[in-house]
Amino acid sequence: MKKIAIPVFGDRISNRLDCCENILLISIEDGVIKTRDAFRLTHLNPAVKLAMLVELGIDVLICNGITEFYTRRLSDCNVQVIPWIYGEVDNVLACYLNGMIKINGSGGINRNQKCKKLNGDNDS
Amino acid sequence: MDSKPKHFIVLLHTDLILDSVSDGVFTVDETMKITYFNRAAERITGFSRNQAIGQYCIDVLKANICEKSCALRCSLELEQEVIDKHVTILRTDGKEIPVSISTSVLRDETGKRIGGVETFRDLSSIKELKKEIERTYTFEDIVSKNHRIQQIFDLLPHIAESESTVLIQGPSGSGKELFAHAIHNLSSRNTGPFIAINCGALPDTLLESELFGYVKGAFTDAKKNKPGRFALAKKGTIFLDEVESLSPAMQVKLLRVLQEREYEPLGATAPVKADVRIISATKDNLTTLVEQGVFRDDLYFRLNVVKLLLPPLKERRDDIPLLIEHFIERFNRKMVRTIDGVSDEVLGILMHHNFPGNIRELENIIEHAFVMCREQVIQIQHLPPEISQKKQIIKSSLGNSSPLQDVERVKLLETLKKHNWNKVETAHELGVHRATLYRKIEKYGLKNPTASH
Repeated sequence: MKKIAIPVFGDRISNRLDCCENILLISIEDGVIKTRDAFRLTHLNPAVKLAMLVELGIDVLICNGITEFYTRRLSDCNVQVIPWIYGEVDNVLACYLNGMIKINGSGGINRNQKCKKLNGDNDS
Repeated sequence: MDSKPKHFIVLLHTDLILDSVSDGVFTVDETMKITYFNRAAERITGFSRNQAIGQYCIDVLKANICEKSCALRCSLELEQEVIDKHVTILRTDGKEIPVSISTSVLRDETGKRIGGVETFRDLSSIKELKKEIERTYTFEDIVSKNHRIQQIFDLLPHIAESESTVLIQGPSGSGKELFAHAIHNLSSRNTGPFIAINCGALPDTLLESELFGYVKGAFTDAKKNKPGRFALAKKGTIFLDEVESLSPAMQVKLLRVLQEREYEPLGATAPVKADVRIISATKDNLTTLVEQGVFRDDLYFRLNVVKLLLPPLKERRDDIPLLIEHFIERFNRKMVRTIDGVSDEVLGILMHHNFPGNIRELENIIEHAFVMCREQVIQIQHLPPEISQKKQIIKSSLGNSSPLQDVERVKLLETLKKHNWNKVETAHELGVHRATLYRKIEKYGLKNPTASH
């Protein structure tokens, strides 16, 4: 079972992890979504938000904007961070399940039509 | 003879003007998708024009207000300008940039609304200076990958949540005040003041009046009431630095504050309630001072409810490259420079320096280098002489190891220590095969000090 967290804003990925108020927690087994729960993260300071994410026991975080600090801390807690992804949550999830979002050596992801990486360093 | 139509020349001219200004400028259509992105916007955000145009501005700007109170949307909905609103945006490298934004409706030549326009100014340099003056540091200002500091990171929210008195022990320059600030900012008292006082900097008589204040007539020159630091820190946090230098008399007075949660200003006849959280710091081991009879044991136990032990920089060498990068970025902003980094040789020297002055010393070394360096990369000659002279000594003692190997060696050692030399866990964290790990351990001659021979 793999636990994936996605910060969400409406039906899209939240633009910043540190400012997001809602997290979608998805558990996946054999490539199939087993559970899908929403969590509120309002009025949490960064340290508590981080602690909460870690306590949720997530394996992967798919997000858009993320500060260096969060990336470092989550990686130190063995959470695989897939940053700078934007688009509609369902599309992103479908891409992830289809193996279209993959961490590459430099920490970026492969691009595709429905969800994209947008961090300015590999415009294609 | 130029055959281009007049409106084309006007547009070209407008582009040139907008690309020449130092403020970021972009426009959006009615669906909030970016239609124009000037050169300064590219520089400040890290996105190229091609990447930005056609995207929702929320995905490009990544401002902290986008989701709750988007200024541009507000301008479009209310047809009102927003002027000089201070927000932060997230650059493509994950750096948070403070900016001032102004937004308004964008209209065509007939006055018809066609979208919105936003300008934004990078306030990094100003905010950096303000931060330095006001010393408003947060949890995110602590720069570290070291496992010992990571353990403290894990504890900080819980420590901050409680009202317990905290004792921070660490050598000079290890960032004790930064951690105290972080605890304060994470606590429920963060809307109250953070008041710091160095107990070692003032003689006893002055320290008493500084801490507790005095009332009019308490002594000859007391012409009016003066609140002390405990009063100034009301509903906030008081940070007592160098608490080990308190005299026995002052120790008794502080003990009373901790026991009774009240104090008496000089000359006052009634006690005052102390509504403050106390964080103290020491560079000495207070247990030793207690054993020597220099420090009161009852005060020590009151101060030492929660203890944070900050390691010296020489024990967290894996943080040196990160800290160098952090200081370079900070001084670039502060001094409006564009230094890229340090040379391999400089990194090698700094990786092997003992840093008796800890992080403050490293900061000073980088600041010195900034003053001396007129190039893009800090070289040995830009370092303070006492550091650059170490080059030869280090070279002879290290043989042929490169700075990158030094960094690898330190990282490897730190991770092994973190996992109590458990090779499986270490290999997992480093993302290498166990065989690779064993090879590297042998290559660098690393030995588990606790292993039986």
